[in-house]
Amino acid sequence: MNGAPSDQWSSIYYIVSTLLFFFLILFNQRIQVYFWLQEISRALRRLEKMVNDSKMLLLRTFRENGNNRHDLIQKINELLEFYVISPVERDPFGVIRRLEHLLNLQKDKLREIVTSLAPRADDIMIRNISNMVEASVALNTLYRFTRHYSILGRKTKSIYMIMQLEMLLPQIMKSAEAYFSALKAFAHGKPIGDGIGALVASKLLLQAEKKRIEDDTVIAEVPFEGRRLIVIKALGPGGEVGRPGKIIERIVEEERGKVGRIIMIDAALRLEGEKSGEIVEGIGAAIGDPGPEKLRIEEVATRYKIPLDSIIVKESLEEAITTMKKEIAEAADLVIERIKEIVRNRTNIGDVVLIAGIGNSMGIAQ
Amino acid sequence: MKERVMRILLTAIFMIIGAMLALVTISPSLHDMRLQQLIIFSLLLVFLALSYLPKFSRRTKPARKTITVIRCMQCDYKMERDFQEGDYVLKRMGTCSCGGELYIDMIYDVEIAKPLTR
Repeated sequence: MNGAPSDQWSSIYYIVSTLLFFFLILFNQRIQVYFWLQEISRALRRLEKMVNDSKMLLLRTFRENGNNRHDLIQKINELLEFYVISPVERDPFGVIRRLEHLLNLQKDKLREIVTSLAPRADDIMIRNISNMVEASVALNTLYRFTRHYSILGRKTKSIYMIMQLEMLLPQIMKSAEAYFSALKAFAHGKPIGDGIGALVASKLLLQAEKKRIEDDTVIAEVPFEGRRLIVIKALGPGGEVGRPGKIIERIVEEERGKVGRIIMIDAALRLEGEKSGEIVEGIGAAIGDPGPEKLRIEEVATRYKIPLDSIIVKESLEEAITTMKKEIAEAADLVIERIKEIVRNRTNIGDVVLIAGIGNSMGIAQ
Repeated sequence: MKERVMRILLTAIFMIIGAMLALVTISPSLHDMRLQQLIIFSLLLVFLALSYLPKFSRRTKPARKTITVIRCMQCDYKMERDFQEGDYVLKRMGTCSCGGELYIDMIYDVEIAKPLTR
């Protein structure tokens, strides 16, 4: 009561700072968790909106292609839960063969469902819609998993679960944004970044006579400075990746192993800080499939000791599944020059050279 | 939205208290107070407020448009136009003035320069 003002302020300061000190010691983690959870909720809302928008886009596409069913949205919801059970890996014998079988079944099943849901769609549109469905399924899976760990984290109050999810959020959101942007490119049938291999192949076989062979793949023979170039690409302009491994294996067997070189062109994920559209040359099967196609190429190249060259064009995940950017498209002509250089310098006159343009041929014909 | 408001509110409260304490510290009537303690306390509150500041930076994607490049198979003719529904690479587009066949050579995305706003 009688104390000087400075003493009173001192006491207040002491009490408040002590309280604040203990408050922060005891509740700092909870405050942090609260903010993490708010961050997760915001991301979940954004993911949910993306999933709903993708459903609406699918709904509109199916309606435009002759579907007037009342339960269409329910069918789309079911379609977005589509799954493939991976083969048993505990017994690795024949695992690639089993995986290949499952992948073929997945492709056929998706196409069958899309055909029934879009009765008026032509072959190209069916392939494009199948790609849209795959991107929507990936987006929905990201949303479901994020929601699952968010609810589990809240239920168990596990700070480590919440922390891990919050730390993975930038990656999750980046992938989700990429799949969401991809949907629009797929809906319009525009070439995507992953199609750079197919674009190179299509430029090579511009004036050649093409032959459509099994498994949605196209081949053409192009004479070049005394060599026979056999160019392989997926059938376009619908969204298709074909079966380049199977076709390469077949051609090598048909040529009885007398193939001078196999050159593969594909898009490859660039690291942060690297330039999009940069061309790099290396060795090995440049193909991003889950295994079966790559294995076939490696097997046949090893069996007949055929040199296996690869040329990759760097791009990010988002660039790979969205409309092809100018710098990536312009890399195609440079890749062709590289191929010609390889053929001139590393093969002999009279050789057969296989050139496989790997990637999605959406918006790229032959 | 709620979380954003909460953060801004919390930041504002701490900032105001910190600023008030800083003002009290320098006011002439309270010169005999423990200045150092108050300055440290004010700074503590300001730093705490700053640590709760929301991430204001929002990534804005640049607008893009798709271009279709048409070429002639025989001469150097090249034409660029906006993408149209149904365009695809190697689609035949008629005949060039030289008699060669026109085709779509490339389809790609470009960034559109932002229009100047006042």
